[in-house]
Amino acid sequence: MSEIICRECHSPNKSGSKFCSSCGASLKPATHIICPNCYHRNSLHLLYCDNCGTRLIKQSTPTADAPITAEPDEPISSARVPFSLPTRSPGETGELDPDSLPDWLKTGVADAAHIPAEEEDRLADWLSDLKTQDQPSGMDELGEVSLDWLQEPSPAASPPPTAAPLPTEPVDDWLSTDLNTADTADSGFDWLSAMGDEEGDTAEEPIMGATGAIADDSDWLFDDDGEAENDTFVTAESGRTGFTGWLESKMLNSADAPLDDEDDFMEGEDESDLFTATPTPKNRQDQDLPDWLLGDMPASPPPTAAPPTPPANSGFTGWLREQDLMDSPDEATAFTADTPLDPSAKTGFTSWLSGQGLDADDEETAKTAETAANNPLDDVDLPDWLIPEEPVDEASLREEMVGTGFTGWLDASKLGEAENDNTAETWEDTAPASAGDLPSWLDTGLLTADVVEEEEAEVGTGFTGWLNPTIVDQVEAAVPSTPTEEIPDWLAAGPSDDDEESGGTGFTDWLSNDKNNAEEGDEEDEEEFDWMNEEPMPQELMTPLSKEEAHKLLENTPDVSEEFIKEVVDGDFPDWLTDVTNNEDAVSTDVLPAWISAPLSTTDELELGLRSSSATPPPPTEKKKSAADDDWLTGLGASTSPTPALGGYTAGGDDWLSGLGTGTAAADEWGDLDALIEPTADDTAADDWGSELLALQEDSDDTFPSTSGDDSWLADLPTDTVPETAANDWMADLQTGNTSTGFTDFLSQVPDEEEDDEWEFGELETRSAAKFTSELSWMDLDEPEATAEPIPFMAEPEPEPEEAVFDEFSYLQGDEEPTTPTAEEAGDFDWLGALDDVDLSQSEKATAAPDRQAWLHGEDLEDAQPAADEWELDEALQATVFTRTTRPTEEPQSTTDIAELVSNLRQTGDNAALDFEDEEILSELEALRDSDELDPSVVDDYEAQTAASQEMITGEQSWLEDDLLANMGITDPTLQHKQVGGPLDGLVGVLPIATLATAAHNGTLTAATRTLTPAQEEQTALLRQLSRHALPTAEPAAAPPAPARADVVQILLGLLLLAAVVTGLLLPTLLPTTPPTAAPSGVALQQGIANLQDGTVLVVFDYTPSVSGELNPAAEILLKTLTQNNNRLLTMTQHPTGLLTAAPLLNQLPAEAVAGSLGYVPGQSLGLRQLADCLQGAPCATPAVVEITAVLLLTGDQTDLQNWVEQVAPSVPQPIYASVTEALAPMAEPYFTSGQLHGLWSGLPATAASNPGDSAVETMRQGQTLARLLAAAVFIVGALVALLPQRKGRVA
Amino acid sequence: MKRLFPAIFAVPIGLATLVGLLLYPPLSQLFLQWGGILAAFALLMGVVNLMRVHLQRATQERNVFSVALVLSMWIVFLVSALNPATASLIFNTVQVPLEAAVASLLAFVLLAAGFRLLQRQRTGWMLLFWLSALIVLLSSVGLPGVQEWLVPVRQLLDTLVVTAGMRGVLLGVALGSFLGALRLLLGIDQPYNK
Repeated sequence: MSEIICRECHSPNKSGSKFCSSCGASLKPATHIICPNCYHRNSLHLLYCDNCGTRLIKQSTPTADAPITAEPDEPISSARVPFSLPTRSPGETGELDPDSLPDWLKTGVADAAHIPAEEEDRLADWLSDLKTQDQPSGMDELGEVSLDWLQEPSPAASPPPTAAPLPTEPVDDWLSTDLNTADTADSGFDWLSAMGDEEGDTAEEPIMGATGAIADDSDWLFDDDGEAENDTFVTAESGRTGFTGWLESKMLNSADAPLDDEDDFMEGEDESDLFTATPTPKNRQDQDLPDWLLGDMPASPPPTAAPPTPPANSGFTGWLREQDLMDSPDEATAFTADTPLDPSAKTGFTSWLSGQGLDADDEETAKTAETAANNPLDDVDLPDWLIPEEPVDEASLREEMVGTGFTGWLDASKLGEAENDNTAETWEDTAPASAGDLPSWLDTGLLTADVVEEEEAEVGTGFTGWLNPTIVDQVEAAVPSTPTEEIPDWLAAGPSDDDEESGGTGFTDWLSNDKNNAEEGDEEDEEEFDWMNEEPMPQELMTPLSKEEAHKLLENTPDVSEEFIKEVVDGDFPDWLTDVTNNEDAVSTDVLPAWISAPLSTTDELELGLRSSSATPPPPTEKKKSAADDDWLTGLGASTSPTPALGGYTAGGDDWLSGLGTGTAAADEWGDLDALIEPTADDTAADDWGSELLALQEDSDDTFPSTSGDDSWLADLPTDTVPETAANDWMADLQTGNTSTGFTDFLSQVPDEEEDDEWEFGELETRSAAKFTSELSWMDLDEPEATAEPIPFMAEPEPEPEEAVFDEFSYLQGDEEPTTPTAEEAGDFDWLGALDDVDLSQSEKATAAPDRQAWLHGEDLEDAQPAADEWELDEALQATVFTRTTRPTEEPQSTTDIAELVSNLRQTGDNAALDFEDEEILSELEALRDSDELDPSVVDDYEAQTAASQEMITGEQSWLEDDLLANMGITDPTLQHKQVGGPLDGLVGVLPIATLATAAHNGTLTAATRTLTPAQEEQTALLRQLSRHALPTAEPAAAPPAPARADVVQILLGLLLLAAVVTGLLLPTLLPTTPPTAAPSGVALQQGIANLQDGTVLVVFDYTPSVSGELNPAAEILLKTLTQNNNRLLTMTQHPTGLLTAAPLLNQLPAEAVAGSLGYVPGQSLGLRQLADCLQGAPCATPAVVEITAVLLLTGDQTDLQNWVEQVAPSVPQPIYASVTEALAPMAEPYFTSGQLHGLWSGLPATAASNPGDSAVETMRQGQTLARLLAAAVFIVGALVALLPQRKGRVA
Repeated sequence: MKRLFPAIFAVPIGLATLVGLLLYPPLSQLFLQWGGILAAFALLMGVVNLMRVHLQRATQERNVFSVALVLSMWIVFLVSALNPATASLIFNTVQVPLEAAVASLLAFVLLAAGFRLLQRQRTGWMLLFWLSALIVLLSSVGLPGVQEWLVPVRQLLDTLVVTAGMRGVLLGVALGSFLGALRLLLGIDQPYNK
């Protein structure tokens, strides 16, 4: 029970008391805190005085000035301990003492347990990224605020030091990003946060597929060392990867652009500015662009030459176009918007080339224009090698060129169509045709090339091979320099070596350096490639391994058994490895491809085991060339053709760019294109471009993969640190041709820069695997066996069953319905779901022998109808894991079912190698067999808990907790799907890369709103701390014990007073007193009442029983006097108890004396005002009012007296007499003096003075006289007592 | 609008009453009658609300005092309705002694306070207060030998000091009332919106 300590006497009082029981002081809570120093009144919420700063509330001891209001019935908890703010001087932002801060203040979170794990991780990552990033401008304003407590190990901020070759970077980044799945969104957020401020950064391009992760790797991109610019294709500024990105980076670097300072770039320098600055001729000149890029571009490309919308800036062509058209965006817009969708239009690179020469005045071109009058390229200032020699059958050209080959592949229109869901069908309609009708210029090298000649063609090792310095050196050695300045040396050196021979070649021909001309090719074209004849690349890979070599090679490879080594030595390879070119003894770890698991030397090259999903693997004899100089990128072009693609790749012919240069396409599409290509001495645009590439290569050798002349940089692709699943997925994608990785894929999927905002990665999901395959079908041009019979997939693309093709990257494309990964692949085995949803029959279990690597070997990919046992099992598990089924909860789970299911799972687990967790779960289930039937509620609870825990882990949206994602801040529906396949398998909330990249400025992650400066964090923490503590409104002050002397004095005084009153009443004549003289007011009252005769007097009883003892004697005298004068009394009151109080007096009067009663008149002054009106003659309910001759007011209340005097007295003619208490005398006397009252008796002494003969009144006065003397004596004694301590002090 | 709506009615009616008092008394009387009725109804509502509150406290919080209040209210109401004389008896035998007894405590309180008067504060004003109280007490006693010179002093105080002071208080009250009425009429103060 709490008490209230009186502020006056410090005596304890009962809770709820309004007045002190000891001294009578008010105990109401104080409304202010009086400063003990300056006595300034402060509000209760203040801890320190506003005036002088003195602390108002002590921490432990109470103060007399502080409000003393105890908290009722509430113990003092630790949380209510007075809080002491950390004392800091104004402006000080230094770090607080960590030891002095509570944990919640350090963390800023009161209870971290309530934060979801994902949210916490994201916050932590965000904070870490915030720490690792360049400090924003706002951070500088905070001074040196330590955020060490926020710091976490920052992710690797640079690409692998050994790798970062030109083409490997996308793949490497992709893998690394996939491995760091947890960081994807976060890093993406960083990237977004860094880039998001840039409005209209149209130059931002998302990087798709394998390169898409680069955009996420913000740390790597934004690393201050800036090495990324040199080590990778990716330009952090533009986000481009691959070839264009590399080109761009080189351009930027060579131009000494101020991009080295990435801080400047990150601080809001618009990307678009960077790129829009390049198109001007001067800038381009500064950036050392090739001449052909610096040349005047067509002001308004003709509609016929324009590619259909939206391809203007997509892919390589788009990049090229950007370099030229960015200075005239209107033109670019018109180029795309105003151009009708003409299927015959040259698209992609070709269209750009056609647009390039529209404004030219080349005479030679004009000559060729005669042969193609309707050709929009007539007036183009094209190189001769681009000028067709023969009239082109436009119909066939339209039909065959569009969407095929390099140009078709670069056809941005298809990309744009693919990006557009609305046009997906169109794309699907055209893609098979284009795939099937592969231009002959593309397949000539494949169909007609002589095997022997192809073996001789070693130089054309593809684009990357062309970039290979060794090959470049060879090229340089083979070609002489050209005296023409406009023609790059390196380019002019090749063809100009024999202009006549090379005259028929152009850019692609030169690039190809391919001697694998088809038999039916133009002889002239064949001769053109003589200069490209070079020594074949040494083949050093895939030579049969001895057992010792295999041991040595695989000694560092885990999980390699002797049997496997034996297989390696004996050549019993998996099918996918047997397809390797000239690799009869290919190494297979059965876990990872050899190039992954086995350390590769710098000369190791490997052709990837790409092949179609055909069930029949090709015989090894079909291999023509070794993989020594194969470009790994060629594998990306592997289609789903049943043709043994892998073995068909040759060293020289498998280069996808080399195929472009095959001059055997005289009668086919290539011939058509070749006809357009007329090499002239003036056509040096492409040469310049090529020379730039060479120059860049020479200037920065480290940028290129290797100087050893091989593709050893491939070893840096998926290293042994890559998880098995990731590598498998990647490999699977390569095999299916549905890859989203690699250079070619990047090129194929780079969107239009004008459509950045619309570009979505998920739109690519409209492309099926077959579409991708057909799109990349041009890569199969080197297939040697195509000459014997048409390539099936080219002639008529098989509708590849998508179910059989794993699209591990479908989750990146927003594919909601995953393909059929097994539960093991998914990483989680939903045993609970298996209990309910899966009914694995015994036969299925018996046949369900999942080979985890089977899919890697391509078995399941080859089978259109996956009849394998594991496939069915996978389907079942797939349905178990990924299919959400609503099961009736009413059905009880019998132990029989559980036992059966457990048994099934056991058997399945024997084959599937259930892990420890699964075994543990199964053991728990077995324990449930004891009971006959489980309680359904128990089962339901357990299911709910399990599902909840699983959902917490996997992030799958739960039907039990639909608001989980909302709580996690994941509101985007596209983010609420669980990722299927890949390293991100099972995770939810993964931002699609495209969305992440394109929506940089629209990033709405909640973390962005949580950006708080350290100072704000500190303030927030302090506010939290303050809010946690209640305001110190009351202090349970330990009141000092009331002095015993006060109690004794009070009791003594009370007793003395009582004795005096009683003695005065009993002995009225004890003290000889002189009767008081009547005051003038009293005399006036007495005379006035006495003068009232035969009238009606309004007697107002406005007093309560509390003062009745003082007023009743006067009232009695007055009423008697009035009655004696034949006056009638009309009573009223403004107090509810007035008439009752006066009832005893009225009862003493004769009945006829009371004329009536107005009763209780409410309304205070309002009622009196109405009464005054009645007194003036206004109609009233009581007619007797008008007869009132005088008013006698008996009151002890000041307000009543005032109301009567103010509201009634001024307006009525009747006299007002008043008899009030003695306490009211000081107030009433002025009214009498002013004439507002006609007579006044104030208290008993005045009554006695006016009525000296009244013994009763005199007796009462005598009794009060003794009490008054006692009171005067107490006053004097009290004063004397008060002086005593002062005397003692003086003595001391 | 929520605050403006009452003012729309209050201000014009107040002005009308004022004008009626000065120019056309029947108008002011009409409003005054309405005001008296509303005041009586407000009193009734207050009684009902008092009973409701204490009835709630009596039933929910088991407050004994509230139970006593509710019971007393109903008993007096019923008795007064049935037999008014009995109600007067209850009042005179219960209410009057209690109130008188409580009021009589004032004498003890004042006596104790007077004893500690100078112990608490020893200021000049307190000394004047103490001296004035002592003079009033002794002058009202009528002791021989003291009455002759104390009564003139007290009369001097009453007429000079007390009356002057009270006049000043009353004038201040009048001015305050005037300004308060003005603020009400102008809508500056809106007690009806509190």
